Amino acid sequence: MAQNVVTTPSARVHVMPPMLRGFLWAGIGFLVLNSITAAIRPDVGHPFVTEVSITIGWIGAVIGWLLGVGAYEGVVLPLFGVTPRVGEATDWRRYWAFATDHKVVGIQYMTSSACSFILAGGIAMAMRAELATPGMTFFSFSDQYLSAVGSHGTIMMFSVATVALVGGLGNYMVPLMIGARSTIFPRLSGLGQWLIPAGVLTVALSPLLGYWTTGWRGYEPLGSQDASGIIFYYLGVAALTMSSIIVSLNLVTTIVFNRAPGVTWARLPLFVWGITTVSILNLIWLPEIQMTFILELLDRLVPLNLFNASGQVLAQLELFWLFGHPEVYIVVVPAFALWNEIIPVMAQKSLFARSWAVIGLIFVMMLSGLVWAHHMFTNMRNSEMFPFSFFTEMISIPTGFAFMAALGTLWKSRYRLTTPGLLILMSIFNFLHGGITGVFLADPPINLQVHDTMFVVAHFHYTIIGGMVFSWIAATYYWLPKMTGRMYSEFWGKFLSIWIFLAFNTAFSTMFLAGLMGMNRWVPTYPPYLGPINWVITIAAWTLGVGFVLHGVHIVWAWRKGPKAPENPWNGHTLEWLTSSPPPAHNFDAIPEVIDGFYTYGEKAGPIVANLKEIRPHVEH
Amino acid sequence: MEQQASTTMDQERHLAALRWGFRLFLGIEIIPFIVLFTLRYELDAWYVAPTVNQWLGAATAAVMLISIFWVVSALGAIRQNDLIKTQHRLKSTVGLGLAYMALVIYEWSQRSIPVGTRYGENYYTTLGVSAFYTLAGLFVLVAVAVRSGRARLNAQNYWDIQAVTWYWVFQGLAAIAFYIYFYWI
Repeated sequence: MAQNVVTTPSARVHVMPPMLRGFLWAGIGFLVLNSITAAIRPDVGHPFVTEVSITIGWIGAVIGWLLGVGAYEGVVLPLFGVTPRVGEATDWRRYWAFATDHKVVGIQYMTSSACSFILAGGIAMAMRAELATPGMTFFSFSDQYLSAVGSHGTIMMFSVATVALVGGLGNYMVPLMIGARSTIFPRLSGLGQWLIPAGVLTVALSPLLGYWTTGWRGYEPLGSQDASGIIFYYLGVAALTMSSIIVSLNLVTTIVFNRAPGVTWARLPLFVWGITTVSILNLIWLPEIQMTFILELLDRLVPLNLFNASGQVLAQLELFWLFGHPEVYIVVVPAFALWNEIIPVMAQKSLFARSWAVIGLIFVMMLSGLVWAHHMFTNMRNSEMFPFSFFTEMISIPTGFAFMAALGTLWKSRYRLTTPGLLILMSIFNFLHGGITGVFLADPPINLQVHDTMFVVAHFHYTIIGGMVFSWIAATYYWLPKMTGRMYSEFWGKFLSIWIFLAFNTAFSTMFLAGLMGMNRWVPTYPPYLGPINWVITIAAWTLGVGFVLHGVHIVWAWRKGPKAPENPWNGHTLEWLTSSPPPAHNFDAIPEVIDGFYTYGEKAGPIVANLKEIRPHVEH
Repeated sequence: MEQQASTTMDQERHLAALRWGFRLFLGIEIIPFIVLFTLRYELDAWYVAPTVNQWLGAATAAVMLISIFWVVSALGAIRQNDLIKTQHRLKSTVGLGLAYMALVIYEWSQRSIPVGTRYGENYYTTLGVSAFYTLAGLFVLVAVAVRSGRARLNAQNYWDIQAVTWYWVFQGLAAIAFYIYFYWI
């Protein structure tokens, strides 16, 4: 089925822009399935739109959306053995429709993630506006604030943190780094990307159906007591997690089967190892949370008594956190990998203890499923806390391997403080603080003391923003010359990096203190004595938000107007630097034959591939 | 000649990748059932409701079991290059799948198992997941049955039939496991 990729000249693409057609077909899909549900429901006299009908209607809308953006020609017709009359565009329009080129899909994912980051970041700015003063100012009702917190967390976790490095950079870079020409399931991959806008819009618009108060965790029994907006939370998360499952299935299969000759597991690039481990986590835990949220949805729609006072409230918490803590490592494991991908290149020094860096990633993956109940210490006996406290502290050991490899490589090196190099060091610094406070939180006495305070919020923002987002921006600058053929401004890159570093650390280190002073989470109002410290956090958070936007503006400027980049500006040894920038559709003229590892520098460094002259495309794109 | 051998090897490797990826997909599709199993344990719902219709449950499972043999025989037929027989068996499997769904809907409509009980909640949620998998299986069965004629499938090119067979066997085993789990245990 995967062989029937049809590419036609741009003039023969869809008559109607695919995204516009997607919206139209989504509307039709919703109307049709909502109407059918309304028609066949046995209780005559109910309204045309009910909680059940919008759930079924939403499924129709997503199917309509996917078909409209191009899955009709790209997936459905080939599935039935019909050759479509129109195919994928080859010009700029390919970025706005269903695509099968992994590089196009990667850029689509990066764009989706960046837009989601701006949207959820904007919501965070509104939350900080509310928290700038002790009373209700920005929002009128506390449920509005809680809906904002939930939407911010859900969009950030499921469409940015889980997606940007894996769906975005993973889709673009992994095939290039392993010397492949494509991924194994390109159609599936193209389909998965378009679930992101569907899921994000669903979550973002959910408050229109009524405010929901559960946060990104869908806690029961809050969910069953909330207004109908919670339904769109469950549905939005279903779409977003399905997208990440598709990405992981595609990438892990590609990594296992599409490696070029000589790209053995012992030579696999660090970032590819990161994507492999995180994909395994995604494939195990995302179906688990999908099923949990479907049960919560049924609990509400039927209704059942699974997770309310008649059932087992604790069961929902357990099922959520079984996924919830591995999710944190789903987010940061690719960041660990990026540290040790970029540092040897910037240092031009062989990667220290490469095997241990890889073992660290694998053990973090394995231990991540054994720590989850530390989120529930307030619900547990002391004896039950011990194993989870133990494993949570133990996971700092393999995490330390990533630090060890990074620091060992940096030791006595002539590290180049380029923008990506600087951002990676910042990421390590930030995650160190997130990690150490995580060890504090693994101890029950501290955990019980600071539970549900801003200390916890500061801790996980240090890991997610400090660890993952800084690495994401670093990797974007690092591979920008490869993806675009253009360079950014080193001055503006460094200036803006220092800007966000200072703003981030001011906002979130102060938040630790606010938590220790008694500032609770999940509340839009607080005692007046906490006013000054919250004001400082708000000003720093807004400064951070502006810094992120300016980074985005700078990257877009560099993409379009930046000076032409050298072929291999960092002297990187991984395979993506052997092809032209940006790479052509087929990536390499000849499949590379790798004869040495990618992280050896200095006197021991020899040729990486045997057929260098045959690899590079003759026609520049 | 050398290039042709290389292309054949690439195709074989690509096919192996498709098979491996599909097996991985089926493997992760078991996870929702593990969650449902966990939930039944958490809710302490280990009993069989006395009102379940054992004969109807057994008949439903039997239809699914027959359909599994039928779809496997479709795979055997295409391996012997018998496209007509393959298409016939695929269509018969669709018929059996529809019969299975009709029996499930009939049983559902009888309301012999009250929804508002521990057993009923677990029964209907698990049945719903299993039936969703069956519906998805019916869609791909129809698609591949239609495609088989147009794509000129044969003994050398039958991945489509193999994939749909694996999927149908998987969802069939899930449906039979559901029967054992809720009618016997």
